[in-house]
Amino acid sequence: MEKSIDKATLSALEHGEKSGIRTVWDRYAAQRPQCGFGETGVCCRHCLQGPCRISPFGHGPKEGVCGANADVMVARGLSRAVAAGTSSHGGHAKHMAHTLLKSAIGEAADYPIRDEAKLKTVAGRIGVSIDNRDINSIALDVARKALEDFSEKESPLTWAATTVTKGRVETFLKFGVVPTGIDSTVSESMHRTTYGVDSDPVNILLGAIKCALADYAACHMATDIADILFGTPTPVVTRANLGVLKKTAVNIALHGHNPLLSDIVAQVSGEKAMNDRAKAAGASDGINVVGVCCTGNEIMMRHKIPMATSSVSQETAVLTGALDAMVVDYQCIMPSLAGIAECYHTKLITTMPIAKIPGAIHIEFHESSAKESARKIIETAIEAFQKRDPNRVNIPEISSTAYAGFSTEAIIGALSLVNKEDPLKPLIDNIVSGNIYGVCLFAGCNTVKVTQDANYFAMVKELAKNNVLILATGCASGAFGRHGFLTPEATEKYAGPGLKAVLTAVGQAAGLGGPLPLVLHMGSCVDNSRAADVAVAVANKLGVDLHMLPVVASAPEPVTEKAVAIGTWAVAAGLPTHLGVVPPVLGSKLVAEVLTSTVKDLFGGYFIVEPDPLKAAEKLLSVIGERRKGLGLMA
Amino acid sequence: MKQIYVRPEQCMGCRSCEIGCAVQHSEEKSLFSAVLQSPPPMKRLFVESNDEIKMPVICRHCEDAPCLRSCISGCLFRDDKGLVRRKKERCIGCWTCMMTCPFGVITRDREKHIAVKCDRCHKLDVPACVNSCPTGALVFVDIDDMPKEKRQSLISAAAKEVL
Amino acid sequence: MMRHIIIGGSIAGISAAMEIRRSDAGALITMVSKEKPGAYYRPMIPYLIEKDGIDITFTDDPAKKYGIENIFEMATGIDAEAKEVALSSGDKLGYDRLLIAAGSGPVIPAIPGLDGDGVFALRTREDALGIKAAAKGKGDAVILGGGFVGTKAAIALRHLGLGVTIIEQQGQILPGRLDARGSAIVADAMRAAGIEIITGDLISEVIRDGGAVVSVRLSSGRTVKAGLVIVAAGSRPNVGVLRNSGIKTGRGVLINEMLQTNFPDIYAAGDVVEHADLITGMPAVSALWGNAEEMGRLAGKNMAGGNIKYAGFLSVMNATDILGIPVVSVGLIEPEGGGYEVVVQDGIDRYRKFVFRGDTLVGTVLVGDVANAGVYTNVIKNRVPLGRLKAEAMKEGLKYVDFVGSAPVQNLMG
Repeated sequence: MEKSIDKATLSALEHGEKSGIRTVWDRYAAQRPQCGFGETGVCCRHCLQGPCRISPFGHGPKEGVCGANADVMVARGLSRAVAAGTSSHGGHAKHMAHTLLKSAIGEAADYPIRDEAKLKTVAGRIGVSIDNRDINSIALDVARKALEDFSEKESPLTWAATTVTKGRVETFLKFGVVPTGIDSTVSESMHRTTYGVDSDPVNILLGAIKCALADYAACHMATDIADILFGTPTPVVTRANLGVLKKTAVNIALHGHNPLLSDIVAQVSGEKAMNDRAKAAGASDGINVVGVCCTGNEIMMRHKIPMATSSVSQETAVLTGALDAMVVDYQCIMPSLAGIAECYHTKLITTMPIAKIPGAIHIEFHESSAKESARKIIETAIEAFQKRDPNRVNIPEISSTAYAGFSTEAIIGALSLVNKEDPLKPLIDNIVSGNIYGVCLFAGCNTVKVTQDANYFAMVKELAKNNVLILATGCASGAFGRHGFLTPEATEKYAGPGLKAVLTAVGQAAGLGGPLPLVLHMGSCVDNSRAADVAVAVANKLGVDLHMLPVVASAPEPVTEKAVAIGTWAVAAGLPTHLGVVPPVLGSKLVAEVLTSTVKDLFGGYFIVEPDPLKAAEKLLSVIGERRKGLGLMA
Repeated sequence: MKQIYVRPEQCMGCRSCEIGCAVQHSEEKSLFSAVLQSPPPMKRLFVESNDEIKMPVICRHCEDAPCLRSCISGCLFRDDKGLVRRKKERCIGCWTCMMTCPFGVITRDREKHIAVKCDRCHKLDVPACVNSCPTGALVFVDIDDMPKEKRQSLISAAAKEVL
Repeated sequence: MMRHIIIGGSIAGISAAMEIRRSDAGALITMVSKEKPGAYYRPMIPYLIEKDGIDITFTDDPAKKYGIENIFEMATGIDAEAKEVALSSGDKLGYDRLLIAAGSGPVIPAIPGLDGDGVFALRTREDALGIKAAAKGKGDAVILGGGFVGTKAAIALRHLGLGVTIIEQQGQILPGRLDARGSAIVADAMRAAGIEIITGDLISEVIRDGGAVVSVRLSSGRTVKAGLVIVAAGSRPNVGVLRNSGIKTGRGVLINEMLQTNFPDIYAAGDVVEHADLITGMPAVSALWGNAEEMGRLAGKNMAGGNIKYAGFLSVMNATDILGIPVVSVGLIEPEGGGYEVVVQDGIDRYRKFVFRGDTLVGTVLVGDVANAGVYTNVIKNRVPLGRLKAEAMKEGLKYVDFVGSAPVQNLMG
């Protein structure tokens, strides 16, 4: 199997190979074969009597020591993955909420409220009074409400209950999956999956859905507060792929997830004093900040900062020999970066107390002194730049234009230029007419188990050809960015006639002089909440629930537990959700059946597991067709 | 005679056999002391995979054993059970057996500078790898004692391998 | 009752005798060899120089185990018409089937002063024990020739504490056995161990003082101190016994695919044979233990009525360990001319080279990491077309499982 279809990635890898540097792909090869018990989810290590495992071939015992069978093991394992994903997004959102609170009480001078309108919208939505109040007191109440969402309350999670359709709320209540606290639900998931608690696989799975809805709330909260503190994204034009690194600049990559760190570094990197220092050190182009993974998406949308790489290929940024510092916060950061950075002059800089890597420099980041830390980070990068070995620099001269920053507000804003009174009408009219056949949200990562970007590439072409409107977040947008799908040219090249007409009309109205890009970049992986908002708005406008819309989701190359959580809430939200990698559930026929079929009867959404991208696209198109029929639209 | 048969279609690639083998060839023959042993004990079989299957690759104790025939030091010999074994003290670490074994199941003990290979746990009733296989991918049977249909399935599994 | 005579007492002859006995319990098998007291592992002799008390004899005496009559004499001639072998004692032995497995002997170049005390070849156990005795009290040794025998002798003497210099006529040590890069890795390790290596030079004279060797003079004019000279300049087939016999020879005895000479009842096997190399197709002689074992075994089968065809040998098929660096080289390792694709992986702790002709692996050099070497050897020896596995071979390397499955690319074993 090829490692990637991206030429820049392959070129950097080839360069690394020549220096004998091992990357994620080599480590994967060394791990193979991987254990089939783990692959099928039938290895349980939840108590000290284990580990227990059940042969999927029916050899040997059918139960673990405690009596848990394969169904229970698989359900518990999946549930814990959702809990881990939720705790990640929860941690991210809580970090934001604390910062908002500090901002409101004057303890975080570097984090002023930048988007008062968004603050007021959110406040209004969650029942915080905005009339005749100063911004900081509104912010304080919003922050408190947000923090309340983490502990167990007597009422449903605010950020879940106020952001979905009424129909969804009723469905969630009906099946008892309404979360009342983000952290408390994670805790409950861990409790019910520990030794001797929940042994009903279906009940465990409902618990997982409840937890996933807490994940959704956390994502939404993270998006909301990011917009309040740093501004709601509007479309920008920048570039993506390794070619955005510059020989003549101090290159700093920001990698991870939370804009609390990256936005400040991005702000400080524009300071003249910093750039003068860089120039004095010999970098004629000053400081060049680039993004990696979701933090890259955050600063791409808000600061036009180009995206160097993402997800599975994160190590390639170092392999260019031109990266002076890789600055990381948390999530999806491969510990291997430390060892690879050591092979070059590159400094790996960790910033979060909960995410340290041996071999990295740790410059701890605090809200109270954010800019100071950011400057220290940049100074460290400038120092490293002076040790860069020009003979080892190999920047692939490959990058694509990328339009990014299509927040929900930005999309509605663009549509309102077509119809000021009723911005959603043009979208709905075109869905009804079939110009837009349906909507697909691409989310998730890249994985060593799939040739990097191959599934995205194949699926987007097929769906766009069939007039499916494509939204993307997280490392899905990273993949599309690398290959030029975030451009109007891609619309010209790949969109079916109906889709092209719609994107062109909106693009013209928005003054682009051409169509909108083929794939609308909506942000980082927490920003999947933005796509949910669009779907909720459309459903509310039509007066139907989400599970009836011709809207689907796909994670063609997923990796993380966060992706499992997001996929699960997408299913609970009623979306048919495609996975391009088989999750560890095949050890239980029951669980596999529930996830791909039974759950449909409860929530409307369900998983479609299909490694072949063309078959996956075909399945999604046929699902969209079914949904259209259900709404009485031309299929 | 009892032989180890591999049924690749049952192999999960969990490497339990590799662990069982290494433990059996450790000083104290228990997992927890084996993981603390330094240098660590060596395994004698290797779980490998291709796009289609996973399987432990084991020493066949070949009737026409290339390792034994090519051994230049008189280390390898065939014991009275028909197993190809080592007289460890005669191995000089020339690696000729590694060069000739078509299965790639002879490895180097870097510490002792000798070749390491399967002895089919000749002191045990059932080899450690077979004992530690949780799925029945490794079986230790005398094919003549088996019912016909089982025999057929083992033979056809073996036929997929190239012998 | 068939009477088999085997000229030569080493591995080709022994494996032939074993096969004859397996096929024919009643056959008379006589082995004629001047080397007493019988069978030993010849490749082990360099280790006799440095190690005390190691046993290199066959654990089961083949003569006893297989009922072989040993005649410790030299065979001096063959009368192929009369079917008789002449012995140094003057006796004559009649045979029904004859195997020539006379092996090879050292090449001794004509160098002034070489003849005399303090100069040894290294072909037999006696040579090795002689060197061991002579090395006592000597400060320096010179090794004439940087092949496997020379390098091993050099290492053994170095371990005994002697200053050692290898003089190799060609540009690298282990010429023909390793490519330039592989040779350089090994040479670096040897130099680090204190062995001097001089390439591209020859010994022009051995200088003696009162009969004792004191130094050698090189063609370059340089003088190297030496109390001991080991001649390891290669070997050549022992074809002297065939003189006037009518048996066809080139460099060695010529055989057909049944291992018969031009006389159907006379077979030949081992170092004494000349045969086409499996990969190059060019006539070659092989002084390799494994090849001799295989030829002897097949010849024995055929002498006892079998009908097994010999495909031929790889004249390069070497495994060794030089100062802790494992080394394997198989097949065509330094292709000349077009039509070959060479893939090299030169890493920190391993060097691997793969030579392809189309999708067939025809040669490999593995230095530092010889895991799965046997998979490559068998792929090369059986000329297995690799098809889709070629890319795998070039990247990750091959493993046995690559040849298993519902649709294996090709049978690994040919």
